[in-house]
Amino acid sequence: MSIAKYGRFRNLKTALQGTWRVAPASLYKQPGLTAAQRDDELSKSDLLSPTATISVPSAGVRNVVPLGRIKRTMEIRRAYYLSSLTYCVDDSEPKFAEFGDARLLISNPQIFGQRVCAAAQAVHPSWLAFFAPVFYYDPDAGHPEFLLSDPPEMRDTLPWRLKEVKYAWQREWRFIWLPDTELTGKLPPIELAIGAISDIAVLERLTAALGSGCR
Amino acid sequence: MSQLPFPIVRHHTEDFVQPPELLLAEYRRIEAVPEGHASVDVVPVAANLRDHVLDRMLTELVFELDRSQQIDLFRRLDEVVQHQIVGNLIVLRRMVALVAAPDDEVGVKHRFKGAAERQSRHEPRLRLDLSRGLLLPVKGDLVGEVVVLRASEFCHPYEFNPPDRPFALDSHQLPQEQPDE
Repeated sequence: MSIAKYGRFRNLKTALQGTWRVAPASLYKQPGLTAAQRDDELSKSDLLSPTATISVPSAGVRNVVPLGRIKRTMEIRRAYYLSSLTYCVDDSEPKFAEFGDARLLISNPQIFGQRVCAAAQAVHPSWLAFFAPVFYYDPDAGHPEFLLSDPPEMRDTLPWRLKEVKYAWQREWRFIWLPDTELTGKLPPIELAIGAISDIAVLERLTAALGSGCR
Repeated sequence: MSQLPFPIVRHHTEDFVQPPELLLAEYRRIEAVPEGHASVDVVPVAANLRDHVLDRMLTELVFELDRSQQIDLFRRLDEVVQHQIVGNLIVLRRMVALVAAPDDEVGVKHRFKGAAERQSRHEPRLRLDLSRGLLLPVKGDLVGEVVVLRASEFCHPYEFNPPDRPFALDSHQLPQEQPDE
């Protein structure tokens, strides 16, 4: 199974040559990005079940029925870094063109993942890192607290892996790094020296053939 | 999952939320809840777990209550906060004050801001939450009000009662200055 990174040709060429660029999550909120790229990666909202009630056990408050539905917003309070790839690689989804004019098709994701992991650990050995698929949810239907399909040690990572279902066509797998200290100010991208990956990847220009949708 | 390109990988598990066995126990509790959310428990979080969880993530619940529910809820919260919940003493008192004087919106907001500023000097981590306001009246309709529980001491779904220190108030965590009433 292959994975792909879509983007501008010149940027992906740099990646192919061995420099993998990782962006702070806040970057994706910028208004100048395309609809496919732009999202608030630090805040996710949904509506809880219509039957949800409010309880404050320590105050002896049980099952207070609210008027209407409860809106939940999960706000990630610390800056973090991410890098997104997709496992939709069948030349099919035209909206990927919003990311740029090219894609890097990686034929050996395991080796690629190991190289990225090693490069990140060399630079930031104490940062928490996890690599997992995005979970797409309908804001009106809510999302679970965690995924039963995840191993136990991954069950508190869901907030960093949530995206609304309108992005589901992207079929994203993301690399996430959580700094061990609070980073402030304008955060620069990080360039990971992963070494040339031409042995496991090819750089392709997008053609007009994209189009039948990823399933 | 078997079709995904990588195994799910995680590094430095030990540095994230401690202790992991505590969270696993909590997950088991959640799993026991029937399908959907039978109840949203808004619970106090102990300081040691708060450092790991709330520094990274904040859960905000916005819901609307009728007036009698609201008064009862805040009365009970006010009773609790004086005895058990670490921090945010000022915030909850402000919430109660607004319920008691719904027509005094401007004045309450003003005092609210003052309280936030005072507390922020002692615990800057809370400043962001407080500056956004904790309680937003619905315009033109005092039958129902929108309540935003955003206090950092309330977090869903984590709950932790250390057996030797059940939500005790530490003197250094109390605000040094009381708000204007």
